[in-house]
Amino acid sequence: MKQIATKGFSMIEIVIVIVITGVIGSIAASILSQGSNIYISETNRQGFVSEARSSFWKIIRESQGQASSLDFSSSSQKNLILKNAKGETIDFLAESSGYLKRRFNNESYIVLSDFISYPESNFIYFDNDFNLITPSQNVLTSEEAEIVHLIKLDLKFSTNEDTLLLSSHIYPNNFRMGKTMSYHKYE
Amino acid sequence: MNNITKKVKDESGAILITSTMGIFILLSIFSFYLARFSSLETQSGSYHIQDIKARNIAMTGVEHGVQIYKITKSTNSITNDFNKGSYTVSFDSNYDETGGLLVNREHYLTMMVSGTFGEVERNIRFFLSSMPEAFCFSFYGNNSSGGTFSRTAGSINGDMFFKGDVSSNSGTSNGITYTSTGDGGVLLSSYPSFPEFSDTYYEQLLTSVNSYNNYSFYFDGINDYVHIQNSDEINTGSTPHMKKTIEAWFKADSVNITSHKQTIYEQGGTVRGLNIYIYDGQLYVGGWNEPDGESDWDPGTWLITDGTGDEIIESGKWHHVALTLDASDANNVQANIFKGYLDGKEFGSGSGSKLWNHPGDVSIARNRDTKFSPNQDYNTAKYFSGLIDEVRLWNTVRTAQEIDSYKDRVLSGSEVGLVAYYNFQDNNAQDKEDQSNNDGTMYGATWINDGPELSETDGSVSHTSTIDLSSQGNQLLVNGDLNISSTTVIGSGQIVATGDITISSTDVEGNIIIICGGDININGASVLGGTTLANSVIIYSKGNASFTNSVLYGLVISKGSGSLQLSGTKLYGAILNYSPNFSLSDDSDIVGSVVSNYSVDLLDNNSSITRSEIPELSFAGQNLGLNSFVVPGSYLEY
Repeated sequence: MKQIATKGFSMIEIVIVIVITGVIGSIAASILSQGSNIYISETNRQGFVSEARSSFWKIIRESQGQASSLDFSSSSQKNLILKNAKGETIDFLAESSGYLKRRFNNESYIVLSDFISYPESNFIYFDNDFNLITPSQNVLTSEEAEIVHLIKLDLKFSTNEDTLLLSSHIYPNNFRMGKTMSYHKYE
Repeated sequence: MNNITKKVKDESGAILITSTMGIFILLSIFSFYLARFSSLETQSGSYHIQDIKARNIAMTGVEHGVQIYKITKSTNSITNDFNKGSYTVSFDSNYDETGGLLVNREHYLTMMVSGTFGEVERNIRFFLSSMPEAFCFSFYGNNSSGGTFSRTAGSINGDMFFKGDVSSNSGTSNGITYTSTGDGGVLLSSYPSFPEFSDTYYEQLLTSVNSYNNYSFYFDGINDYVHIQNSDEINTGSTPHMKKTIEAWFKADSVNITSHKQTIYEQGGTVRGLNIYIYDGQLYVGGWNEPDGESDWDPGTWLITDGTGDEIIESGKWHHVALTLDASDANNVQANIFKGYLDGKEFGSGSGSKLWNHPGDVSIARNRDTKFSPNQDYNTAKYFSGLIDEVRLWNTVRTAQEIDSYKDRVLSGSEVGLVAYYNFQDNNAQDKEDQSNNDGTMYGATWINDGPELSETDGSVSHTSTIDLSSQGNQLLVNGDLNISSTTVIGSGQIVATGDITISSTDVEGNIIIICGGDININGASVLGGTTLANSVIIYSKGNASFTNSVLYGLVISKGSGSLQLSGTKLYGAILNYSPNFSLSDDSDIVGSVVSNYSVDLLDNNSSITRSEIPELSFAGQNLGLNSFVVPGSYLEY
């Protein structure tokens, strides 16, 4: 009977393969880890930008539907109070703790962003001649609110690594159609 | 050890493959994680862009919808693709976007716009008013006559506006009195303007009643003519003809022909007769009665235009000619009883006499055997080249005013003194005068759809039994006065009269537009518009408007320069008034809104104007002449 020869790897060969695999693996892991960290960092940055942009756009969008300038009463540079055509109240609040919050119909505040830079984030009001309206009593009185024609939104978002300053004027659509007067309502 | 070595040697291939696959799987899972993370972030980031685009598309839909509604008053839905997205515009006259009723806003409707881009949808809604903003007031006074608003009786309830000053205690009793000056009320520096009203819709209907598709005969100038037999009414008989008026419209191919006289009309012969012709750019009307034993009107009289001012005739243009003979029974020639008219204006007068029996037939567009001025040209067969229409023969003397005003109107055929009337509205020469038959016979003339602009008149029309507009094409059109009494009018549709309209003791059911070219008078406990604004009537009046002891639901537009008076009348709806003399008396109430170009007089304490619902001005999508507006404060993005 013929004996079949069984030839395989020697121990040394196996050890060498394991060592080489380990070295290559560790290098690959290191590279992947580094790439992953970069990617996560960039993704977080995107998240930050996205959050800032989302908050900013939400304020613009809901300010467009402001029914009447009178509804700006009690608004301040840190607190924008809106009321839409259905009578629903929406207000935005910038807090010194870095939170930008939104509240609907006086329900609980919901955080839109926790990256707000408080000192540089303001809601600014202008009259029909683009003169700045400064709240005389920290908040707009009804007389001051009534002449609001235009809002300027300045928001600064910042993290340890990044800063994003967003700014826009907002001209509510209702204001283009005239001012709500007593004679428009006659139920 | 050897066994282990041997085992490893035996299974080394499997170990290598397994290790490689393990590393591959780990890397795949990691890649998948990164790819998913990346995808989510990209999607999140792009949402805002899509949101902005969707909103812009929705705003485009808003512009589209508002413009369409403003121009056409159509409330049909609109769907359109735009910038790789799409928008839909829809209207609802009863409900808002949540399905809630538009309470107390009959003339408001909700316009809803949905813009879509990718997976993002943006919605916008606002209210449109079918009536101008001035109708938001109980009373809007434009104060065109100037002065201070003063109310000494009655009451106004709801916010009012007066463009000027308001006397103390003269403003609204319940609401805010706005003024343009602040004197007597609250200053309203930016006030709604007086509505711009387009009367096109109404005037077109009035014109359509007036319109008359006129036909005439074309004569070739060679041998075309119309022949009318001798008639005792026209030219023959034992009784002399003393009073005559002969009229015709003509449009000559050339008025300057000198080769022959172009005869428009002739009756009689060379001894006695009348004729009308043109020659060398001038118009001639002639008459004669030669026998010495009669009047000795010999050679006769020819009146001739002088070719200047109002006495110019032009080729290819319609002109009206008339001659009148106002003779007495005297047997002699009398001065200035024979006259000629061109386009309604007298161009000459001369002597004449009555005409004895003058056979020789009657012809239109040819001369058979009459004669011409100035040298008694007896040449026959002188034809007219061009169009002739509305030949009217009267045995009365029409006055200058009658000739001028009636030349532009179609006759009914029953006018007093009319003996023959050829309007050529059919392809024959029938006499349309309704008492006798003086039909003519055509010889070669061509029937043409052309003619002077004439209006048609029905005279006065009365109705005392039920009028169902749906059974008569949804229209009752009267060219003249219309009287409706003690009956019912069933809509929907239009009632149009070019003259006065009187409605007495009659129920006019809803959705009817009444257009009156003259004065309108509604009285005798008439009820117009049923009992709700949903079945409104619209009344448009160009003359004085008077409403007495009646009830109306709808809109009254008083365009007359005289008066608008309500007495003992309740009007639920709105008034747009242009009449300077506007008053309410004897417990008249307007519940809705009044917009007046002038002030208003409330003549008794029981009369009032109270702000309430006004009708929706959109009958079957018609643009009824008043602009819509977007209600401030109604804009909502959702």
